[in-house]
Amino acid sequence: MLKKPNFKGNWLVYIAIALVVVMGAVYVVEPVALAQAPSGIVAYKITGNANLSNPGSENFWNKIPYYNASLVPNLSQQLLPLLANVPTSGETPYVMVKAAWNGTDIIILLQWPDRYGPSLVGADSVSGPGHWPVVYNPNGPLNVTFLNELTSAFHRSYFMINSSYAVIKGSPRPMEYVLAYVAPKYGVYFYGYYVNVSEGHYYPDRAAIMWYMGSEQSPSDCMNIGGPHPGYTIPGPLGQLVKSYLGTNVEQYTGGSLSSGAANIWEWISGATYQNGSDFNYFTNSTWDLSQGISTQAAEQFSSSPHGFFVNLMTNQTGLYDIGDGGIWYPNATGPEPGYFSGYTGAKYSNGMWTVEFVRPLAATMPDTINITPGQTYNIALATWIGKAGETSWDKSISANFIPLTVSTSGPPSPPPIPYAVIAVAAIGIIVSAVAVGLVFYSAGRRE
Amino acid sequence: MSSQEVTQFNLIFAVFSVLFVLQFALRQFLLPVLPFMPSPSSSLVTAAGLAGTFSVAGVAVMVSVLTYAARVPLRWLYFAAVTLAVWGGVVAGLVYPDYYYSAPWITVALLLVALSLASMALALRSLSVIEIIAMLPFVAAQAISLISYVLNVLEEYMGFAIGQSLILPYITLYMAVAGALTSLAMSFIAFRPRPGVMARYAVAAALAFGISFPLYSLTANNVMMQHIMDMVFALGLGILTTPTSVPLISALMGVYAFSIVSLLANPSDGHRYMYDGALMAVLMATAVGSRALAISFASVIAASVSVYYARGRLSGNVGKAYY
Repeated sequence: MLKKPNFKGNWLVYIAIALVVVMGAVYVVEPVALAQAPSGIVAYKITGNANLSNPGSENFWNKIPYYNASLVPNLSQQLLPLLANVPTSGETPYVMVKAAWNGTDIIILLQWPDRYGPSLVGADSVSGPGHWPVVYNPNGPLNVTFLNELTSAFHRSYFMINSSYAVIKGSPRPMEYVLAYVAPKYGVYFYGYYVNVSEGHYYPDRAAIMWYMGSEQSPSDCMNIGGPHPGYTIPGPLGQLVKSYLGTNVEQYTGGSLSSGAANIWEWISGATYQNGSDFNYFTNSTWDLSQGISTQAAEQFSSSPHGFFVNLMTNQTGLYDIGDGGIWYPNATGPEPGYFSGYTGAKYSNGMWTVEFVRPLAATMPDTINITPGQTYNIALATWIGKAGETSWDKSISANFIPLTVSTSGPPSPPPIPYAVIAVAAIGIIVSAVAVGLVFYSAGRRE
Repeated sequence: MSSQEVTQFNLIFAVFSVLFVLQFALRQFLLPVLPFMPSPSSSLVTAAGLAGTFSVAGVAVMVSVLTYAARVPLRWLYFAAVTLAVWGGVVAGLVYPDYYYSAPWITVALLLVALSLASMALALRSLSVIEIIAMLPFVAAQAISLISYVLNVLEEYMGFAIGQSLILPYITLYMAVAGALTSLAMSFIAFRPRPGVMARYAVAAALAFGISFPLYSLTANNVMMQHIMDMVFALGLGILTTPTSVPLISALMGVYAFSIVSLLANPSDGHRYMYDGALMAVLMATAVGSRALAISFASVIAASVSVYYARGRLSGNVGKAYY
């Protein structure tokens, strides 16, 4: 016989469940922002301008602390006592960030360690060395039959280093899905990007800031693994192999697309957008610019007064795109835009650290780029590439999550008039006191 | 204390635990991980997102209810702080969107951190020495995370140049290793050689193997999958590590699954280990999560006061004095 529920005794449970159902339904139908806590990077209002010839030297930075963003190290042995036989690496464990705005521009200062020294080699898509993946089989000889299927399906050639290692000549981006999910079954594993420093086959250093523009409350900053475009069908015999293994040879995503919403990426490339980079002069040549789909107005202005700049990219659920050019790095999302060179950068390498300053007007200068409003908070993600270590494309160090960046309407907080150590001790003391109060209550309770 | 109150508290705690696990699995872990699956369906992603949103709203309700229901010292302070931080923030956001970097709200956040630490201390006080040792990795991870958060707030919002160069690469990996070993030890301590208990442990072991082995096989000799899963662990679990240690993490996942399932399924000492297991999960999950939401701190407080209350109640020491 079933026992009759005791409503009176469990009233709190029923009220709680009812509240959960009601509030859960409200949030599902019409999400309201969850309660926030102060966190992340603050861009303070300052007076002054960026000094891009010596980034980080401006007086206003002295009043603003660094935010230390931990990065996800990829393909690296770093501090762990574990074997890692990978030539490419996620060499940047952290990046230090400061942010400010002066009424018209936002200024972001990044600083990160690079123990390999600056790489000034050009980018693959301009005139730099190709993104060549190394594939291998750790358990024996490479499956050359499969390697032939793979490379022919994506119109690539390859050369063998030895019986277990090969280098595929050409960007692995279109084949990343097959490399990730299928090739290992056939004894072909991705190893890293090919590097030969003595022959100059390495990649530019890079830094990127991703600005999330979607509406998700907890978006992911990670990009999808996929094919050349959404719904890409892997052709021929390779497609049949993929289908037999995964059940389909259709790739849902484009490689580099974002899982939800859209984001604007500001990317500084040492070999191409930095004045000392090997390929910088391509951009000062307006004829070359026009051939690359950059607007005439932007090209002529830039060639008459060149400066360090950053490239604008856009990623959304359909793919990764260039903004304002004809598709130098990725397919173009827009036509020519006069604001192509509107993002300024200054950079220097000293004492084993790169320091790069990004400057851009607050208002969006091109379609699909972030419009920044004082008082608002934005989700940003950070990434760096160490080119001489073989980092390029998806081999990089990234912040594991978006970091809130608040554009404060006030200036930097005044330093406290008493020594920091005293205040730190006081803060710790308050916390210890709170713990002590809790324990006293606890002890009193036990005695009773 | 009446059995009715015990039943009521257990039910509330169970609802909180289920919602917390759901929001962690769906919102914090699965959503970032799904894009790495070969062919995730968009309807699955949408369903997971909606269920995660429902769960996190439910957790926001339950943290207040739990701090009210747990008759612990300073419970009205905990209740008021949690409710103010979680629901006051929602209301404040509707009328003044910039509230979260205003001076009063920064004060609320710091108070919440202090109460989180105080509640953790109370929870530890109610455990046995062996349990405290077993819990230390989780408590350390949480404490490091909270202190790091306070330093960030002091620097970014209050201008204290304390020099937060607190670079702790792989700290969460080390904590995860230590936590796996100690939670395994706790599950062994809880073991009783009875058929029912043995059957539950066998199920936990099978589940752990089912999670761990495929992941280990996938990543043991595949650098690219190590790379991918490295990002998955970072995004989904907050464990920053190197790709080469991903097979190790795969094994740890199995150890965690075994330990927590066996503890939760173990009725040998009432709900003793269930509460410990739940506290472990909350401490680890919130220690590595984003600190931009008040719900993270509130969850730590809710789980901690629950352990303190439940353990005191089980030993007969705590209860009526705090009604």
